[in-house]
Amino acid sequence: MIKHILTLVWNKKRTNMLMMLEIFLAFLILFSVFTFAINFLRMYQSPLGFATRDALLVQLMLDDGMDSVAHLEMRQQLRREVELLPAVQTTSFNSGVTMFSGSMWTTSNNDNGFLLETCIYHADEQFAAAASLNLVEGRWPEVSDQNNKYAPVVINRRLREAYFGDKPVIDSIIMLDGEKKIMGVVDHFKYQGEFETERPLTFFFLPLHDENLRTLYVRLKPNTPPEFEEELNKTIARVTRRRDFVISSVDADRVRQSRQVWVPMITALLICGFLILNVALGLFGVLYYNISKRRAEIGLRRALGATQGAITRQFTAEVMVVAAAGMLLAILIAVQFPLLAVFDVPAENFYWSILATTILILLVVLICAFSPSRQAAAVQPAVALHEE
Amino acid sequence: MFSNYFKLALKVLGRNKFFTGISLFGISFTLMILMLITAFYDTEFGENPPLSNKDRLVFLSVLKMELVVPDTTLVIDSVAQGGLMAYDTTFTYGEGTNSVSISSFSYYVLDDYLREPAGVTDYSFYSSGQHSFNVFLDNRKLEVGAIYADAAYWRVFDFNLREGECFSADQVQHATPVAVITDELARQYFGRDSGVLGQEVELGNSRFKVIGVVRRSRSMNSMVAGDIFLPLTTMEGRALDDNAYQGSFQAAYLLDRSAAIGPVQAELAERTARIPLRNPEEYNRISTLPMSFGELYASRLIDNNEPQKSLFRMRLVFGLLLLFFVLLPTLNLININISRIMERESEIGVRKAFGAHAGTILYQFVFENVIITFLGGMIGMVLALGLLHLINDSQVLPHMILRFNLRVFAYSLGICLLFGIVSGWVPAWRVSRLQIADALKSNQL
Amino acid sequence: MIKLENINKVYRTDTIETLALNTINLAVAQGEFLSIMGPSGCGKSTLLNIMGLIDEPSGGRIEVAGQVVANYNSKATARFRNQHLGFIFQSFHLINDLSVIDNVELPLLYRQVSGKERRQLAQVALEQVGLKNRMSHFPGQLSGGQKQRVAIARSIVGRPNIILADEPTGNLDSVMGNEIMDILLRLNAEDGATIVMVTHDESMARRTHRLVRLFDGSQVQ
Repeated sequence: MIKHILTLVWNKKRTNMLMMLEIFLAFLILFSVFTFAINFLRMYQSPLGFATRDALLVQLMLDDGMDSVAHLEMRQQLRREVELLPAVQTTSFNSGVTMFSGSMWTTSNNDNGFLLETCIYHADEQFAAAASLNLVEGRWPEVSDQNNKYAPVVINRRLREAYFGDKPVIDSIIMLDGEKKIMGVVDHFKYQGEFETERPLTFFFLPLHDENLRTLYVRLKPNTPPEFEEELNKTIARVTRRRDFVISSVDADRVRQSRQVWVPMITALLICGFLILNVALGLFGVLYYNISKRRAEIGLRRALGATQGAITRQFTAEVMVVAAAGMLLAILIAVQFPLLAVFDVPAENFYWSILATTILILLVVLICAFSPSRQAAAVQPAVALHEE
Repeated sequence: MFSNYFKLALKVLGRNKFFTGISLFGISFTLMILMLITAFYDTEFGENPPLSNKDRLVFLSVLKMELVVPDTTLVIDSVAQGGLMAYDTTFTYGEGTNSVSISSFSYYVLDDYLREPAGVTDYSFYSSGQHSFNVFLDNRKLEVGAIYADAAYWRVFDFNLREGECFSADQVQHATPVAVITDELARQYFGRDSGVLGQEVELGNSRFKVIGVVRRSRSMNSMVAGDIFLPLTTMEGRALDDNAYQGSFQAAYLLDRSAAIGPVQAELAERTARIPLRNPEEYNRISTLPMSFGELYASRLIDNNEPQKSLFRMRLVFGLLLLFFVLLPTLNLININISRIMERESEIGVRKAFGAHAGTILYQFVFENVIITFLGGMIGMVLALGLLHLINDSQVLPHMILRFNLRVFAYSLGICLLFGIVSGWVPAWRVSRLQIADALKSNQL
Repeated sequence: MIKLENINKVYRTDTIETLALNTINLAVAQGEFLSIMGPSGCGKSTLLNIMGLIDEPSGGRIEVAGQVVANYNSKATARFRNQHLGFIFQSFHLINDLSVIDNVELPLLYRQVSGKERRQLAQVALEQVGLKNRMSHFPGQLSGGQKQRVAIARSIVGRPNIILADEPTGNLDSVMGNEIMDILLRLNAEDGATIVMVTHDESMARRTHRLVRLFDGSQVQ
């Protein structure tokens, strides 16, 4: 029977060609969009690793020419006054490279063949507590650690896995702008956004007098109303004697950042959904027409002893063979992407995408082929044979 | 003849409602999406104010500073020669980059080194995309994006001035606290979008008097997408006096109508490279990539050392995506049309038997198909208008306002026609070549 | 071989009720070559379809090859048709997209027969109708007479007890018609096949064993 179907499909290659081409194209389009979506959705699955709700971020503007004593005094006063506000839980000073800011600071160090590439995040001693970081090993640096022989750093788990494997890391000395001592390991910290692939990351501890600490992360008590921002605004203006700083809600920044991926992703998926619906309807129409044109053949086959089920199966199988040919061709092209590794996308995402696309297209084709086949198979052979 | 075809086309449409429905669905949705894309394209790349002159503009946006050191790589290869171990040593001389700093320009660099290149009518230095102010107005918080600019800014970018005037060179020179605001900000700040001249806006530490209201740029291009425009001399801090190389400024040069873009780009790049560096231990190379509007846009999406390549790649990627997107519905439509037309084999047989030649029949079917496509296009346009409204309302694309203007309409009409002809021609061609006898006795197995 | 008792067939539309067959009683013996004649619309094709179990009577009893067939449209009927009945049609009904040999193999496809055996049996059947050399042609490349010979090969490939022929010579000229008739007669004489043939053609009918005439759904002779 399989050979018979293959013969039929082959002998009608001219008619089937277009359908095959359509399936081929649909596969490739779906495949690209699914890869895009799967890739980002898998990134989205791992947690951000820090608190975004009930948190504000202040981009401070500081006068140039302040010395480190002035910096220290100003920050101490700012912290004292902001933490006195009833809605505030804790605060932490960070550098200008902060969460969702779109900027990134990377450095690399080649220490006798031990190449270490990492992103850097600067923060003060209160950051782990303020942003609810999850330390899986060790601890966050304290103010007293700044006088240690080695400057303290905290790394993320990604860096630990990439460069240290199973070896113990706490108290290890690494070369990164000088010798640094690892004090802790943080589970996750996706400060670039929810759709970030986590990279190796190192937190550098900065003391309050450092002029690079230009943003203030303010953790609020739960359910603080948005009007609080104005109160915070006045406090900061009074302390820094400037009014051109910017306060933003960390969660709003997160939403804004993620929207840059959500909007194109959902648009692409919607367009894909429309394309699939379009192809499905078209396929259904064409198959319905093609199969109804073969009513006499169906009558004949029935007269020769084919059961209704056999006819339905045969006609569905014919369409499936054509679809399979188109998909096979497309899969051949699709597997080149992970094999050639031209894009910075993990290979398994491509394979998941191929799987999802295959299932979806098979399903669509099956539905579109089955119902006209079944309907046609139900005709009375006598009627079908004498329909001229 | 045409009215005959037209009547026939409508009749054919009514006869097989199922196929007509499928075709119309496919056509209208495809064209709807194409029209949306066209509207998006027109907003971002069309020659609309304030970027009507975008093809005559050259931008300086990124100043790159590097510390380049000679780098010698020593490779020692051990090879077995005649049973003895020998060493093959290779030295490679090259350069390694130790540190790179990429940022915008300082005002000082632009002011001292990058004024008046040849072939340029006008040029403007401005600082955009980095200044945002929180304004608290009776329990509402406004985020106001400011652009600091010189007076030439208004000649380079042709904003639609709704009332008042733009600030002058004199006002810039004297750091007069005046502001040009957008209609949108006027609405948010004053609750009305006209009659706000002479009012004051409080931003940061200062108050600015509104002297003009412009229509906000519909696109998201950062060089024009501000809420308020201030003389660059009113910037806080010492941004103007600072003699660092990098800062927050960018430059736009408006070319003479006859000037080519290449030489201007080359001159600006060369002048930047020649800027003397005070501290070669820190950075010993300085460079920039003067870009056209398209290149600037593309380089934000696709990072490449050569903006021309970025632009090429962006066009390639979008072109291919669009092609793929259009190809599928077209194929689908061709497939449906073949079935549709094949159903009328005997009609064709009769027509041919009575003297219609292949060409006439071809035209007839293509014409029919164009009519269906236009019908679908009309539905698509209505859908597109509705969707545009929805997109603008929902602020999915913040600050971007998509419009359906005459130009978009013309594009859409062209798309419709092309779509109709292509999807009608293939099946029609196949059918028009049918043998009369075959067509007449098509009722066999 | 075939026994029809009190067969009725009524076609109903919204307003009219047409009696296509009126109390037909007919028996066909094994090895008999029976022809049915009558003007257009007298119900001869309907009668043949009922014998072939591709149409249901409105009333009556049918016995084919010793089995009473009452339950239509089941898998059993399909199998029964496949094993005991062979069909020949006026307009041949060959599948244009299949080669001659593939067309002939068709009935065997719905049985458990291996591909090799199918091919062999189909070749034997084609040899019987003298078309072995046209095996890999397509129906479009054959003349009407040749097409009908392929259809005959298809009807006998499964070794059925009964062959039902619906105006097998109706679309052919007299020379070709006679050729087809010769083949059918030979099948009847040499292989002992039971044949029921509907025809318009008096001269063809006269060459068979027995003639039944229908008029307006009733047997008149």
